[in-house]
Amino acid sequence: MIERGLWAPANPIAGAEGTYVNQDSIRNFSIIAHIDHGKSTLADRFLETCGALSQREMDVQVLDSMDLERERGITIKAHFVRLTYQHSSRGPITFHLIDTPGHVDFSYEVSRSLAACEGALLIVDATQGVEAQTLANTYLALENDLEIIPVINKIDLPGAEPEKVREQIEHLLGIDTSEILLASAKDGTGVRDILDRVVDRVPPPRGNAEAPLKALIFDSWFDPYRGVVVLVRIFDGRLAPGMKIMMVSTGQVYEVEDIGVFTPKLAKIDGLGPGEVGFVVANIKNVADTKIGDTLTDPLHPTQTPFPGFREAKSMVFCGLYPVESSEYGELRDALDKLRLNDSSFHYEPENSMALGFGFRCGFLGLLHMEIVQQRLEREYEMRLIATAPSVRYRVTKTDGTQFEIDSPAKLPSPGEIAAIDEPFIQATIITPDEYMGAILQLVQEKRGQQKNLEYLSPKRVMITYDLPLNEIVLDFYDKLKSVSRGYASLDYHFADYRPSQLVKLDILVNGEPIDALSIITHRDSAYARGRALVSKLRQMIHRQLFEVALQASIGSRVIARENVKPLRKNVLAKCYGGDITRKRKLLEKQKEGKRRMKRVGKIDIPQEAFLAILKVEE
Amino acid sequence: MSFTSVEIMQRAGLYVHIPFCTTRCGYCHFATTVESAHEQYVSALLTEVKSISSAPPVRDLIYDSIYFGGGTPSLLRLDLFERIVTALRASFRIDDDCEFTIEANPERPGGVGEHAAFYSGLGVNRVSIGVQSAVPSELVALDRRHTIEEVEETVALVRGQIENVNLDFILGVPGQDQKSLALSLELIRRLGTSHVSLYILEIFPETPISRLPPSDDDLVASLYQDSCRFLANSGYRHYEICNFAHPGRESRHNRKYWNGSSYIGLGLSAASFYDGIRLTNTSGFSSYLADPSRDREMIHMDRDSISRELLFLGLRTVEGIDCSYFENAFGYDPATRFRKDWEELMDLGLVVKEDTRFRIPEEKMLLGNEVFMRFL
Ligand SMILES: Nc1nc2c(ncn2[C@@H]2O[C@H](COP(=O)(O)OP(=O)(O)O)[C@@H](O)[C@H]2O)c(=O)[nH]1
Ligand code: SF4
Repeated sequence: MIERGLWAPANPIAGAEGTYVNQDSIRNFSIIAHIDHGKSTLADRFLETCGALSQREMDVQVLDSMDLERERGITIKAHFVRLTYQHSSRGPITFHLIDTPGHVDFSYEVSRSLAACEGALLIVDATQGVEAQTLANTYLALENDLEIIPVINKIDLPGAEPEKVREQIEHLLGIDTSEILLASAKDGTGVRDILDRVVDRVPPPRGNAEAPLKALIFDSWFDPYRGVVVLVRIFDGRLAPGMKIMMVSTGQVYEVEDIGVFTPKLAKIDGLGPGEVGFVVANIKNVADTKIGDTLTDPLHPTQTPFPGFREAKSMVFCGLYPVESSEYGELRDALDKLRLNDSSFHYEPENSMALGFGFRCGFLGLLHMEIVQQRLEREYEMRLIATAPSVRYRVTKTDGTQFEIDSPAKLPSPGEIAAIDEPFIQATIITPDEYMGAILQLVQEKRGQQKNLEYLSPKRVMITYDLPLNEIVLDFYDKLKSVSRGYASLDYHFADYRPSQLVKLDILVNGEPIDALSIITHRDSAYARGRALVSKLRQMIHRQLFEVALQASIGSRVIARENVKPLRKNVLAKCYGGDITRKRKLLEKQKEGKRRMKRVGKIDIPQEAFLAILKVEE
Repeated sequence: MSFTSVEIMQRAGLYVHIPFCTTRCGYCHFATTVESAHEQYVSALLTEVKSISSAPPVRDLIYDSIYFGGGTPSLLRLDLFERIVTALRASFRIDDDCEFTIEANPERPGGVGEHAAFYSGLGVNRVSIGVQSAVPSELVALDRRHTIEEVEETVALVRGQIENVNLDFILGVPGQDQKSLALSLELIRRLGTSHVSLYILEIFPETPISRLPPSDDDLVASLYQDSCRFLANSGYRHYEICNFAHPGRESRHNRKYWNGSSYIGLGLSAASFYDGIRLTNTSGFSSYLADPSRDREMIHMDRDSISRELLFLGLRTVEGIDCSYFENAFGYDPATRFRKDWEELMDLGLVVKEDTRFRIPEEKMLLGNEVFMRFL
């Protein structure tokens, strides 16, 4: 959050004192790197080289440091930083370094951040090689016509193999290996070369200061004190406090209150001109009104060439979220409302489960996004939640010819009414050391994958491209991939298309009653194995009750697996005399609390994790 | 605050903890030591007797039970034992009709058997002997050092002087099964003492026995049911989850823990309950020696928690709880206040109602926690 107090004394920085930065001296770029390949360390070196922070401030990694943000009372969601670099011949250069979200779920956001730049550094760890997401993001950068500057990092490490990595980069991107820079973000080797290369190769932004305002929104977040904070890159025209601005997509008009940059200290400035990047505060109440990819313009003189427009966030993964305590439904709704103020890319609507009562069906960009939202609900809003197994959106054609989409197994019509079901497929790219290739191929086969391509990037590094049903990915694919490759394989995917599949609904019955929240949609061929595995996993997860509990898996009315949970026969603290009573009381309280954390379905206490049992089964 | 008229009328109990053992059993979690600082310990204990007994309302209570537990009280040097008894008699108002129990292990020679006359002379009229099992392999698992012969001799010697004897046994010893249980039950029948306690082994982390494979809960449950049946056929009345007695020989002292009577605990780790206060002494041996009141935990309980605690403690007994007692003592009827819980519990067969009483039937006693936790 931006605290009011921090606004007062603007930090004098190059070109920010009421003037606009000379367009020719601006370079806008981002860093594309796989996690741990050194993005943050390198960014620190840039700050240091540009004299942006004192030594004490350098002690913490800047771009990734939540602590630093907290200390200053600001939370920077998507980072960007303005730096001034003294180039040996060209004099002071203004860099706008724009951070990109690092995960496959947010590829649209990545593409918009890239669209705000003219160049990108491609950082690859010399001991690891090119990873799948790095590749995907590099292709996004190429689509946006960015100048790519490849850098091999960590060359100081004994295990560094820059030659192999060069080969991979050349193979994938067709970049002449002599163009590739070598660096160590740790000891500082090559850092100035990188910045000089940025100055030489990344073109300065074009744009006409006299033309109508045209700015790209590439990020926004909600600040409790200031309302929505929007990050923009100016393409044409100028932006200054007091101006009226309009969102092209909605036609909504706002008045600019404040404009500023991060150096990385927060600094208020008087205006932004073509090529410049900064944040805008304009009394906007709702992040949903500031769509990433949208164009900001002057309502009186709107630009004639707005950006192609934002893309409505499309939910790919769905799950039910329920309060453990049914009475907390209202609190959950409030928490979701508040969360959505900050993240307009997830969706929710009320859902009613026979087993779990009132809750919400929620849609997410992907699995990580789902995890983030759940964690925030639990940590920031202290909700105790039951999440049902993730699902995808199916297209159902009924025998009467009607077609519709469903995102929850509970909504699947009975088998007799279904003429066809189509399911979403993704195209997955996996990059791995070749020793794990066999195991990975076996895994993707099991998950009903269809091979598209397999190629060696260098003698020991393979890239595998497969089409896979998304519903297999959302179950446990990540964990399995990680375990068969010992964490060395990286995965990237994007939506491909819908394909017809032989899908059935698998129901779980507890003492004869179907538990809707445990139903899953699965391929017919794996239904038996899944049903058995699921029931046996549930048997381990459901504690013994005071009566016998029968667990069954069924497809339609056909029971395909059954297990019993034997009744509880012993739960007593035998010895109980004077000195024992306090301790026994504590033990009983603990037991009681454990029960409270379970969900009572009918008369049966079901632990929260059981609703995700499908994610934990070993078939 | 004297919190109910009912309890004041009831007589109080005195508990004295003697924390000495010759060796430590493999399952032991009690405050006990193999040191032999008997003299120092007794002098600390006497300090405690003096300070506690003079405080109102402790000094005004009348005591009709004394219980020496441990540890192994019979290990205490006899002169020291006598000093304690003398001090108790001098400091507390002890009823002429007083149940006076001492715990003992069946080790010979020099054990409780030989000294039974001495104890009897000091007023001891009940001896509780830790037998645990009649099966040598189970005794090994428990790390107990006595033999079956020693048990038989000890019981015979004690009964020559003191007729009222309890035997402690353990259910759920690793390796125990129906056949081995039958041997222990047979020993109980043969000795025919007036009281038997059957404790279910509770395994505490870090005790040596926690390294052995634990017994299956279903097995323990059926061993328990077998034992209840056997003991009933042998003339014992099951009066609390773990306690069986010839009619009229139920332990007066132990009952006080379940019916809300006052009791004063003296010695290491001992607990007292009177006037709505629960006091628990330190379990640190050297702390206690330095100052018996050091690190003493004191919990003031409000009337409502007392009443709810009495509900779950009362439900441990075969008679269960009497709602009219609660109406008188605490001003509410548990039947109405916890109606929904009682209904669910009765549905599950965990409790039955008879007139104004609720009780757990014998075959469900091992599920007691499922009932107790409702009243916390
Ligand atoms: N030896 C060495 N370690 C580096 C280098 N660059 C980064 N690291 C280390 O690699 C790890 C990950 O770096 P970080 O910058 O956090 O990666 P990020 O996840 O891409 O931001 C950290 O432990 C860094 O200290 C380098 O050039 N050489
Ligand atoms: S006799 Fe009792 S107190 Fe002593 S060590 Fe054995 S179990 Fe523990």
